[in-house]
Parts: sequence; structure tokens; C-alpha cells
Amino acid sequence: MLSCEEVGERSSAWLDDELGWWEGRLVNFHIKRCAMCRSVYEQYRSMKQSLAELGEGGGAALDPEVRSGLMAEFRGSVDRDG
Amino acid sequence: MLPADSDLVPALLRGEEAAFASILDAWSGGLQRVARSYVRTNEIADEVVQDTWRAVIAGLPRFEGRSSLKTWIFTIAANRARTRAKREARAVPMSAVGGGGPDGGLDPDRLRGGGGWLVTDAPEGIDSPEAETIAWEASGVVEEALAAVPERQRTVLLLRDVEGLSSEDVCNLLEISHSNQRVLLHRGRAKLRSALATTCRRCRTRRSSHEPHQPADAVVRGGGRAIVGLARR
Repeated sequence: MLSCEEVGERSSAWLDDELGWWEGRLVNFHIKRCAMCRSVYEQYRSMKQSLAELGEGGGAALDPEVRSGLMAEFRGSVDRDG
Repeated sequence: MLPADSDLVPALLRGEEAAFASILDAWSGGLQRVARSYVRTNEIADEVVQDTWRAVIAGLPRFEGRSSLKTWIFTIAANRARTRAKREARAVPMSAVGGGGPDGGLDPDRLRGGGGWLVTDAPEGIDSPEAETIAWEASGVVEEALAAVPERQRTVLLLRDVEGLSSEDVCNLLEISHSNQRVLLHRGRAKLRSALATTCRRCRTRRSSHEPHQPADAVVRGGGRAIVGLARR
């Protein structure tokens, strides 16, 4: 059985589903039996989800003046090229 | 939800303003976050974002589709932010970000003993024996905690977990090896988790001292499990 430290080292790859089949089974085996690692893993998973939601939320919007300036530039470039 | 590149790119090349507006609105926030992870102020990051979009407008006809449009645009932003940061004489040596490997990056061996679950610093925070699932629901908490993550780790975290780019794209974009990318991501996540523990602890303290005035600070939901959130400030 992997130690908690060994499981920790594989946590990111496990989270991203990037572990090989056998390693994945070993980590899964450990996490099912170790409450501490399970709890930490859940926190990582929840964190990853929150980060994804942060991305989906978009973030700070462009300043309206900057935005309309860029739209005008886009329009201008089309007129020039097309 | 943006259309696929196969629809988006031709629309942009045809000069459809709605297509340009849609990527402007969808990606400017992420570009700002990534730029901000290199440069010192929000204002400089905003300028980098603006320059990036100008470069995108000028370069669109030459976009070859070797990467996704999003990766292409984020690469432009990262390059510009890097150049800008150097110009601002703020280039942080890799050694200051957690140790340097032979190629100036992180040595994966350094993971051993230090880059695991960080179980050692767990007791102070969120996984005490009565540990409850803590969801960092409000982005304000996560954003606050992200600031505590070292620059390079934060950039990888933003590109991978926030923007959802693939590890291959991130390696190309940051010009780092696959193993470096993995180490930076892993360390960044560990650091973020520990920063979230600190932030949540602080917000719990704040909650208890301001409970009557700030009921929206924390939400406790069914089954005795606490879901701690912090209203966006």
C-alpha cells in the first residue's frame, strides 16, 4: 500500500486523471481506506472546481471605453483588409 | 458558451463584430488575471490585455490554428506580460519561487518530502478531526488565496485550472518542460489549499466577531457540514 506521502505526490495527476491504470488503482485503494487522505483529496477536488468556476465567471470586465476602442479597431482592420 | 474554433475563427476572419465581442467579453478577465500574475499592478495588467487584443486584431489573418484560438491569445498575453515585467525590472528569478532545477525550473525531486498533501500543516486548518467539507464557493475567497501562491505556480494554476488549458498548451505557452509544469501545478495547488485554510480561518474569525452584522459571510448547509463562503468584496 502506498504511504500518505506517496499518495500526496500523485495527488495532482490523480486529480487530473493522468495516472496510469495501476497507479490509479493504488491511489484509489489508499484513499478508500485513509480518512485523512480522503478528506484532503475532497478539498483538492472542491478547490479545482472553484477555480474552474472562477474561469467560467470571466473575471474583471474590460473598461467600457477600452472595449469600444478595441471594437472600433477590429472594425477598422476588417475595412482595411477586407 | 463560445462556439468552437471551427466556427469562431472564420467568423472573426469575416469581420463579424459579434464574434469579436464574444471573445473580448469571455477572455479579457482571464487575460487580466494571467497578466497580473507577471506584472506589479492592475493598471499594467490592463495595458497588457489591451495590447494583447491589438496584437490579436493585427495577427488574426496569420493565425494558423496550430493551437486553439484561446491558447494562441493567452500566449500572446503571457509573452507581453513577461516582456513588460522585465521592462519594469521586476523579473523574479526562478530560484525565488521555490528552488531552481538544472534548467532554471523546478526539480521534480524536490517534491519528495515537501510537495505531498501538506498533511503536516493540516491541523492548523481545515482538516481537523471534525473536518467538514469546505467549499470555496465565492470566488472572492479563492482569488484572495491565489495571491498567496508564488508567481510561476500561480500562472500554471490559472492557465490549467481556471482557464482550462491542456498541460501541453501550458508547456508550450510558458516554454517549460512537462515535468516542470506538473511540479509547478502540484505545488501551486498545495500552496493554494494551505492559503485557503488560512483565509477560511480568518473569515470564520471575522464571522464570529461580526455575526450579527454580516450574516452573508458564511453559509452553513444541511447535515452539519459547513460550507464557508465569503461575500465577494
